[in-house]
Amino acid sequence: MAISTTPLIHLSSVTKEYPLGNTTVHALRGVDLTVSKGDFMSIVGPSGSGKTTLLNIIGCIDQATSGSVVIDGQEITTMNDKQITDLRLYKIGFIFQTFNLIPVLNVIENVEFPLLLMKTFSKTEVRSRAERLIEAVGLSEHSQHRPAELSGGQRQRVAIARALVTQPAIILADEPTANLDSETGNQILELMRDLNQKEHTTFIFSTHDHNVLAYAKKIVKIKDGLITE
Amino acid sequence: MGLITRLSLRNLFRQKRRNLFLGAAIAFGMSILIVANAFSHGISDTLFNKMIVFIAGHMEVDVIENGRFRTPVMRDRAAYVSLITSNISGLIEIKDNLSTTCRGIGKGKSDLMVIVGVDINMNKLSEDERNYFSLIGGSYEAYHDRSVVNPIFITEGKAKSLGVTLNDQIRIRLQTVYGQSQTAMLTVVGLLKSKNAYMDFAVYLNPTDMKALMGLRPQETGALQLVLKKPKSAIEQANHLHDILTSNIAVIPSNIAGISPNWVMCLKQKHHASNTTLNAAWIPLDMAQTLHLTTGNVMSLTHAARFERSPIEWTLNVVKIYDNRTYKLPTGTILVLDQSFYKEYYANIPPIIPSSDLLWATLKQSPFKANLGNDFDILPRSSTTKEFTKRMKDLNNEKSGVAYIDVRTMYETASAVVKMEGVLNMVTMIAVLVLFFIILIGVINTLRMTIRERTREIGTTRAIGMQRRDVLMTFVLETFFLSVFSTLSGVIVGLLIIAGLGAITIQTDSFFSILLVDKHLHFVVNPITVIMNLILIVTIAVITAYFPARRAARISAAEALRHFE
Ligand SMILES: Nc1ncnc2c1ncn2[C@@H]1O[C@H](COP(=O)(O)OP(=O)(O)OP(=O)(O)O)[C@@H](O)[C@H]1O
Ligand SMILES: [Mg+2]
Repeated sequence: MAISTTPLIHLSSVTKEYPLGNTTVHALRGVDLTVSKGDFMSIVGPSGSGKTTLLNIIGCIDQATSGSVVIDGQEITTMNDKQITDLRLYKIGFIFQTFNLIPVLNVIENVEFPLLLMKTFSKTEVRSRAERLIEAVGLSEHSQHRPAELSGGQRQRVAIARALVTQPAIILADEPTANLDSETGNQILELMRDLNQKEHTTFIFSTHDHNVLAYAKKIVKIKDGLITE
Repeated sequence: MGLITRLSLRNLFRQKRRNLFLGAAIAFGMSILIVANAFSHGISDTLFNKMIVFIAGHMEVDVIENGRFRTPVMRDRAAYVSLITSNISGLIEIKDNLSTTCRGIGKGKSDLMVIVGVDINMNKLSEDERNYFSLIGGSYEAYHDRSVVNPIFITEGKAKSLGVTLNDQIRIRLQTVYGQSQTAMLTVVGLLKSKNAYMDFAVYLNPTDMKALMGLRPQETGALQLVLKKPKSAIEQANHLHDILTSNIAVIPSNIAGISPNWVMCLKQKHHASNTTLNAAWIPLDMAQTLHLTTGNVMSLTHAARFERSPIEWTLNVVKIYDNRTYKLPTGTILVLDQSFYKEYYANIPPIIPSSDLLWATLKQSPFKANLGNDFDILPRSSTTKEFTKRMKDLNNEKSGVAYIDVRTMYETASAVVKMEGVLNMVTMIAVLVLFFIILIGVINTLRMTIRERTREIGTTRAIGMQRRDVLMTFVLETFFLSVFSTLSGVIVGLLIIAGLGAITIQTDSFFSILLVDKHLHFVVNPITVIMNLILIVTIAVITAYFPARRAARISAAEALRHFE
C-alpha cells in the first residue's frame, strides 16, 4: 500500500538560479511537483519559461539551487556525482530535441550503449534486448546504419529505443518533436504513448506546441519559472 | 573489445585530417629519433670498438721512467699481465703498445711517422683487422721475414710522402726507451690501402723487431692496452685497478763476501744534501768495520736479477757511515742515492722478496722508512685530458728516477674522440626535445578542438550514465592509440631511412672518413633503445592528453548539452 502512494518524483520548493554577468537569472522560482508511476505528463510553457531547466533537475543532470528533489524515494541533492550518474543510468532515460545519438556508433550500438555501461548483462543478453527495442520502434532493417544515414524521425526512434532499453522508471523528453515535421512528430508521440500503455513507463515531455498536448494525460503549465496549474 | 576502446578507436578515425596531421608529426619526430639514435650508436660503435681500439685501447697501463712518457717501458710484462687478467672483468684482449714517433727519410723526402709494432698474422686477425690491413703490394710472409732488415708495411699515402715504394729503405732516427738516440733502416715489404686519414700517420713493423728498435728486452714491453667488452666501464675498471696497485719500499737483495744478509735500498735525495757522486752509498757502522771501509772507499757487491741467470756486479762509492742504532733498518742495509739506485734497480730488476720475509716487518718499525724510495709510485687518476697532459709534463720535474705507473682510459687520452659521442647524444636529445614539444602542443591543441566539437556528445553520454572516469578514458585512449600508431609508423619510416642512407657509398678523404665503415654510414639499431623511445613518447602523449581529457570529463552534463557549435 505504501508503494502505490509513494510518488516516483517529488519536487518541493525547487529553485534554480543561473549567474549571468552581474545579474542572476531565476529560471525556477519555487516549483512543487509530484509525478506518479505510469504518468504520461506534458510540461508546457513559452520559450524561456524553464521547461528544460525543470527536466534537467528531474533528470539529475543539473542541481537545484535550493529545495528538495526525491527520485524513487532517494533524495538526490545530497548525492555525489558518481551516485547520481549511476542513478541516471539505472532509473532515467533521456530523449533529446536534437536526438543526440553517438555518430560513430551504428543503430544497434547506440541502443546497446547504456546496457554496456551497466556491465551487468552478457553480450548476447545485451544484443537481444537491443534488437527487441529496435524492432519495437520499427527500425530492424536499419540496425547497422550510422545515425547520419537516418532521417530525423528514424533518429528519434533510435533515441527512444536507447532510452527504453534499460527499462528505466522515468523517461524524460525535452521537446522530442520540435525538430520533426508534424506527421513524424505525431508518430513519435504515438509510439511513446503505446509504450506508456504497454510497459507502464513514466513519461514526462516538454513542448510549447499545443498540438502535442492532445497526447498528454496530465498537463503541467509553466511560466517564468513557476507552475501555474 | 570494450565499449570505451571501441569509442576511442572510432573517434580517432573521425577527425581524419587533424589526427593524420598530428600523427604524421609524431611519426616524423619518431623517425628522426630512430635515425639519430642509430647513427649515434653507430658512431659509438666505430669509436669504441674500432678506432679507439686501434689507437689506444679502452684502457692503458703505462710505466714511465725519468719522465719519458712518450716511451713508457714495462720491465716485467708478465707481472702486469697477470695483475690485469686477475683484476679486470670483461677483458677481450691485452695488446702491447709498441709505438714511437720519429722522422723518416725516404728517397729525397722526409716525413714524421709513427712506427707501430703489431703482429699482422692473417690467421689471428679479426675480420675488421684483416680488412684494415689489406695489401695492394708486397706480401704478408715478408712481414715476418727474419732475413729482411726491419720489414714494414706502409700505406700508399705515406709511401708517396716519403717517395718510396716496395723494397725501398727508409732511414729513421729514434730514441730508445732508455733515452738513447739510434738510427736504423726500415725495409718496405708491403703497401697498404689507405682506409682513412689517420691511418696514413703510421707504418707497421712486427713486434720482435719493434722491441729491438726500441731497446726493449724480451720480458719487457712498452705499455699494455686493454680492449674491454664494455668500453663504457673503462673508468670504473681503471679506478679499480688503480686502487689495488700498491707500492713497496724498493729492495735489492745483494751479496757481499762475509756479510749476510745484506740489502741495497734507495735513499731519497730530496731529504738530504744533494750528492753528485755516482753510486753514492751509505753503509752501516758494523759493515764498515767488518769490511774495513771508510768514507771515500769503493766497495763491490753482486745481486741477482729477475731475468738474468748470472749475478750482476755493482760498484758503490761509500760517502757516509751511518749508525743503525737510530735508523733501526734491517741488518746489512746499504743505502744508495735515488738516481743511481733506480738506474740499477730498473735495468736489472731484482727477484721478488716474499711478503712473509722478516725484512718487511723490520722496515715497518724503522723511524727512517720515510726516507726510503719505493719500487714505483702511482700517479693519481686523471679525470680530464687537460689534467692528464699536465701530469705527464710534470713528470719532467721528477728527478729521483722513480718510475710512475699511470692507469688511464680513452676518456682522458682520446677525449676528443669520445666527446664526439656526447655531441651526437646531444643531437638525439634535441630530437627528443623537439618531439616533446610537437606532442605537447599538438596533443593539447588537437584535443582541445576535439573536445569543443564533442561537447554535446560528452553531455549526452554523461546524461545516459557514463561516469566521468570513462569519459576521461575515452580521450586518453584516443591519444594513446594515435601515439602508438604514429610512433610505430615512425619506427618503420626511420628504419627505411636508415636502410636508404646506409646504402649510399660515400667517397671522401676528409677527416670524416674515419666515421665511415667501408665508405658507408654506419648505423646500429638497438631494439631496446627503440622500444624505450616508443614507450617514452607514448607516455609523454598520454600524460599530455590527461589534462584536457580531465577537463572534458569535468564539464557539467547540463552545460554540455546546451552547447551548440
Ligand atoms: N546556463 C544558463 N545560464 C544562464 N541562463 C540560463 C541558463 N540556462 C537557462 N537559462 C535561462 O533560464 C531561463 C529558463 O531556460 P530554459 O532553457 O529552462 O527554458 P525553456 O522553457 O526550456 O525554453 P525553450 O522553450 O526556449 O527551450 C531562460 O531565461 C534562460 O535564458
Ligand atoms: Mg528548452
